[in-house]
Amino acid sequence: MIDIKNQNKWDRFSFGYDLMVASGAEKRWKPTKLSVFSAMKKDKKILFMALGTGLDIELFPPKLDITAIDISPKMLARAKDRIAAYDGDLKATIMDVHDLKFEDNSFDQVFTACTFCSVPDPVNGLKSLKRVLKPGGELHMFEHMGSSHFPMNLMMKAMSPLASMVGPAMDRDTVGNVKKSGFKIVRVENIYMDIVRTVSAIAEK
Amino acid sequence: MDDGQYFLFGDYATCIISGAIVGVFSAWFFDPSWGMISAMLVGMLLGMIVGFVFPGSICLHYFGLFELMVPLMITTMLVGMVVSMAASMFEVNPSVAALSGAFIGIFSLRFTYRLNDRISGVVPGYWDLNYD
Repeated sequence: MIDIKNQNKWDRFSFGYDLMVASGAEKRWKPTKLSVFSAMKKDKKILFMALGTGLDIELFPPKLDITAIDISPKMLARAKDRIAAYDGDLKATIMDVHDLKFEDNSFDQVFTACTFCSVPDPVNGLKSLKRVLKPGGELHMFEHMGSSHFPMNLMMKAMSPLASMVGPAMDRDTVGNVKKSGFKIVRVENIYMDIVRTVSAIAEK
Repeated sequence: MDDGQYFLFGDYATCIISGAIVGVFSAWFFDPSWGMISAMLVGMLLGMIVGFVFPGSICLHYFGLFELMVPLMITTMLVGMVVSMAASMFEVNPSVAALSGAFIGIFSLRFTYRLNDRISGVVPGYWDLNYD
């Protein structure tokens, strides 16, 4: 079942989303995102989580078979032109990560970009992703999370309650959540301090 | 201007301008009728709010998110704290407050650059050589 409260939040946010995040952050993170998405392989079935308005589509390698999901119909409506412009097979559908409608072991790779800061129950969301990944399937994440360094840790915690009302949480322990959900973590890289990180993990079953 | 220079310019401009604005605001808002501790606490909070509303929100759009938000938070918090404490004890000249704010902005940015240099990169313990 779709989490209506969360869906409404992102529907509301869809209006100014590109304006808010598109320019500076996307430009700054582009090289890292390109590197993460370069792991997408032609002969693999790929799930991309939380497509949003489709800002990341231009960074996907061409000619791939990608299934994308997002909880917000209004976000996906804004992504329509970007989806159509992709040089490959990109299908987007409305779905909640807590309730994935895919069969077990359906995908070889799952990719996320700034997603698990906003999933209400991140451990269960990650468990759902593990369920739909084939044994040995890969999870590749580009995420921001809470810091373990002073004074950033205090600041992120202080900002999180307000930030999560209008958008993402700021103090998630996403690496810990990946471990808790049963993935084997194979690589964590700090992109900006320990706040913006890439995580690669394997679904061991 | 390449991307590296563009972001370097954005980081410094944001922290210097925010620091200066918060400094002037704190010097104007607080006076010796305030207690030092209450001025410090209120100054920290107001500094962060003022810094984020302007110019923070505009600069965050053009120059980055966390890479700018972290030094901006430290700058505005420190400037708000220091200038409001000073203003609660004696009258602070606005140009001195602006200059102090700008210097604290540069210091905060350099602090985050050094910390980032130290902790960015592959995290030890999460590196499987058999992977890739």
